[in-house]
This record gives sequence, structure tokens and C-alpha cells, in this order.
Amino acid sequence: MQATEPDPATAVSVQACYGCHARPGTEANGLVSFSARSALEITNKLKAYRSGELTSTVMNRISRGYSPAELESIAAHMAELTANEAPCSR
Amino acid sequence: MISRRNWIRYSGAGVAASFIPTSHASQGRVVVIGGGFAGASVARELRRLNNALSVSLIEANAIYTACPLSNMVVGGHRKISQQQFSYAALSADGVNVIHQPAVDVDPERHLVTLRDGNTLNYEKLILAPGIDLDWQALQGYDKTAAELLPHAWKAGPQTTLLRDQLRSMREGGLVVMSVPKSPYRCPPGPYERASLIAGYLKQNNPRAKVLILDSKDSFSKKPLFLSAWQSLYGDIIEWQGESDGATVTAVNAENRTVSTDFETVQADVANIIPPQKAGKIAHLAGVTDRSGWCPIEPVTFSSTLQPDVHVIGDAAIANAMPKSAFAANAQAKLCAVQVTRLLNGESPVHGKLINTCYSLVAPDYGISVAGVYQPGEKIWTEIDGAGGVSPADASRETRAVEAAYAQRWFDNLTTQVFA
Amino acid sequence: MLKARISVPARARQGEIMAVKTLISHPMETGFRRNSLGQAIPRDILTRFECRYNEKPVFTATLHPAVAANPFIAFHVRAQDSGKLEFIWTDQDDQVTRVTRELTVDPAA
Repeated sequence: MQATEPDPATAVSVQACYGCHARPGTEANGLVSFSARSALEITNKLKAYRSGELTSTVMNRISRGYSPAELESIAAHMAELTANEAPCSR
Repeated sequence: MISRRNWIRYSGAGVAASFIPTSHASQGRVVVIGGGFAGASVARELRRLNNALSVSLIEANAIYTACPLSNMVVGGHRKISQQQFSYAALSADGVNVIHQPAVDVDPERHLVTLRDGNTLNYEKLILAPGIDLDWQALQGYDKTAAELLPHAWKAGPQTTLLRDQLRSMREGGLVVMSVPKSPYRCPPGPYERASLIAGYLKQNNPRAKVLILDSKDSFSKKPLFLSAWQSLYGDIIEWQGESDGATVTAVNAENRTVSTDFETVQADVANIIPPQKAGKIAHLAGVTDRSGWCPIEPVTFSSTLQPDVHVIGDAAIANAMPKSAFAANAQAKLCAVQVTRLLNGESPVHGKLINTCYSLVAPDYGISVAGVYQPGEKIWTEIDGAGGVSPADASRETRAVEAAYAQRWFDNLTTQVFA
Repeated sequence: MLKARISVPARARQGEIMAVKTLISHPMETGFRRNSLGQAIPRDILTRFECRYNEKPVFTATLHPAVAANPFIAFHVRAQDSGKLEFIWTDQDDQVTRVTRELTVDPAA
């Protein structure tokens, strides 16, 4: 993985997301996976959860813990990990 | 003392992997004690972040039995084998897994002593010992009593003992549950258990009842549980709190009685969840305070009492963060980042953490609590406006979706930690 | 009327020392705390507890803001004559909660 180093706080936040969502490259039967989603797609979804425009079970409650800028960084890093992670690694 | 030869033997698979060059220069040596959701996660994360690190995991049991969803075993919906995981994947990742208990920690000499007398030296020690049941806290409740009145608060034989007692209980019998004051492992756990026991009774022993004697007046997801109990189980479950005088003060294992200050209840099955404290090794290491738990610096999870020791998971005082498997895993991933950075001479990161917990009121009826947390100077606080519990007016479809998520939450978390 | 629980024997021998336990459901709000909006939470406490045995006070206590929620008060009373035990809690606004128990006392053996 030779992705650009993300800001460490963002990397920490993204790891917390993988408590529920399968890490890219794993076979885990996690909740909705991020695979094949663009940063923009993820950003829009997170912001819609944050504003309440989109409703879900826990995502509205969790997304409100982050600023829109934080959500953007999280989405960008997630998309990058998905694109870069080789399927064999965790 | 552990000889160099022994060290290499213990290191096993770790040796080969540690020669793979990485961008990180550190050759640090980290010892982790406790192989649950916190300890196994942090060991694996450390190797993932820097495979030049030597990481040893000390865990007495060869097989881990997970607590989340173990109430489904009590209710007869899952097998105990579905709760069990081995450490093979950790070994394959280059974690040096040592299956024996740690019997002492010398923080000054940075030394951990194993039961066989060998010692391990560390640069950083991560303690993830989970909970110990406090056998002194409740009159009449000791290890022998627990064979008759199971706690089932550490998953394994106790879980199946409680399940089997329910199955052989007389018709119309009374199940009494004793619930301690906070803090204890898994705040909503006792109420999930009461629910799934009630579900079992409704099907198999419909005149039987569950009486919860609680040492507190409010609990996690209380309104959701109370209304779900009403609609799913009618009057099978009765809950009494502290202000009802329901704090359990003594038990009698032989007679199967449970006493409060105001009455003695004759139980047919008694599930006694006693008060808890940090696992014993934390006490031996000198990282516990008078509360019996471990105070930490929030950002790094480093002990405030001993240098180069970090404490994560149920044993740590993480303030607003509950003692849950998810929180343990989240703390572990953050702690791994911090320890890696500290060993590289970098400053720690200020990161936010999440907790998500599902409770099953029935196999197809789930409710959740979520929170987002940030480290302050002294404590972890919950971020205002975020988090909270499932809505009170959610449809049965939503409850079913959350129940399915609970299952997938478990699968994802255990895959990440053990697969 | 608040919810109260009492543990006291219904029957005793004359001269016997009886353990009495009481618990009352009350927040015992100190008045020193603030809510999440930073507003002071008003004081709401019980100020007095009394136990009367056949009209005669046998135990009294003054309660202060430092007393925890749901005050639990335990004490001992010597059984003398059959009759009535009264338990009386008074709050800061003179609202009274009263619980009565009958006691039968048998002659000393």
C-alpha cells in the first residue's frame, strides 16, 4: 500500500468504522461494505446521515459526532484504502 | 530468566515475519497480556502497523469464548462453539502467542513473569486483562456458589450451565437475576439476558417468571427494554430497582435463595452477576486505583500509575466509554497507533472513537446504542448531539434489521480480531 | 406519598433487640448540581426521619444534602409492648410520608 499518508487522526477514525464495516480486502460478513464506492459517494452519504436527510439505524447517531470536514477526510481515506488494499491482505 | 534461545522458541512464527523490511525503523518489543477483544486486537494491529515489532501475547486459554451473543446461547439460539475462536490467525500474523498465565509484572524492571517462571522483557506493556468477578463483594457468593448459582458473566462453561439449569427448571419456576451497580462489563447485558430467558420460557415453560433484582434504578436502553418486555413477554419479566430495595445483599447457594435488605426470594434458577474489578494481573502490576479499575491518560491509554504500561478494554477507566467488546476493539486499534508512534519517537494522535452495541430482546428484535467519544485532558467524554439509542417508536421491521446487524456486527468484529 | 420499604419483625419477645431497616425512594437532589444546559438543579431533599413506637419517638435523624439518593436507614429498637411502629419521612416542603407496622410482643421467656 503506497497511498499518500493520511492525517493520523483520520486514520484512527476510519479504523473505528471498521468495527462494524468490513475492512477492504477481508471476507468478513460485515455491515454494508464500502467497496467500489468513490470518496464523493461516501462523503455524500455520510453528510446525508449527519443532516438527517437519509435515515438509518446507527449511522445518523454516529455521523453527528463528526464535522462535515472530518466526514470528508474519512470518506477520502476510506475510498483510498479500498482502492489500494490488495485482496490478500487484511 | 528467558534465555535468548527460549525467546526465539517463544517467538515462533514471529521471527520470519520480523525480517521483512518496512518503512518504520523501530525494533521495539511489546508484550500484551490478555487475549480478548482488546488484547488480541492490539497485538494484531501492532503487527499490521509495523511488522518489525516483536509482539508477544500472553493468554492462558488456547480457545477464546466470546461474550457478545452468548445470551443467545443461554436462550437456546446459538451453540457455544459459535462463540469460540483460536489464536491461529494471530500466530500467522507473527504475534508470539504464549498460552500460559502471567503471574507477575515488575514495572520498574519492565519484566513480566510467566507461570513457568520464565520472564519476558518489554519496552511497552499493554494490559488487557478484562474483568475479574469480585468474590468478596456479595455475602455467600464465591467460586463454589457459582457452580450452583451461575454468573455466566465470562462466557464458557458458566454460559452452558445457566442454559442447562433453565432447561431443567420445574414448570412454573422462578428465575432470579441479580444485577450489580455500575461499572460492570456490558451495561445492557443483564437485560438482554432477561429478555432471551423470557423468550425461552414463553415457548417452553409459559407459567415461569423472571425476577430481576437490580442494584440501580436506571440502566442502558431502559425504556426500550421495558416497552419491548411488555409487548413481547407480557408479565413474564418483573424488574425491581434500587429504590424498590432490590439491591441483593446475600445469597445462599445450597437453598438457592437470594436476599435483599427487605426480603429473601426462593429461586428455582438464580443468575448472580456479582460486582467486578479489573483482572488480577492489573492489581499485581500496580495499575489499579481504589475503585479496582485502571486509571489512564485518555489520549494514549497509558497508565497514570506506572510508566510504559497501557491499559485497554474492560479493565481501563475510559469514563463515558462503556465496557463493551466494540469499545475494547476500538481502544485497541487506537492504542496500537499510539504505541507504534511512541516507539518511533512520534507524538500521539488525538483521535475520536466510536462505540456501537446491539442488544437482542428476541432473535428478530434488536435495539442499539451508539456513541462517539473524544479524549479530553483527563477523561473520555461523549460528543454532545451524537450517539443515543434506537428510537422508541421504530417499526418491527427496523427492530428486525437491527437484530440482523447484531449478528453481522459480531461476525465482522470476530473476523477482524481472530480470523 | 413516596414509595418506602420497611423490614421489621411482626412478632418479637419482650426485651428482644429488633433490627429495623428502611429505604425510601427519593432523589435527594443536593441543589449544587447543574444540568447539561448549565442551569442549577433545584434542591429537593428529605430533611427528617422519625420512628415512633406507640407514639413515642425511638429513633430520629436529620438528613442533609450529602445523603445519597434513596436513603437507607437501619437501626435497632427494643421490643416492649404490642402496638404500632410508625415511620415518618418529612421533606424540605413539609410533605410527609408515613408507613405503619403492627407489632405483637410476647412475654419474655
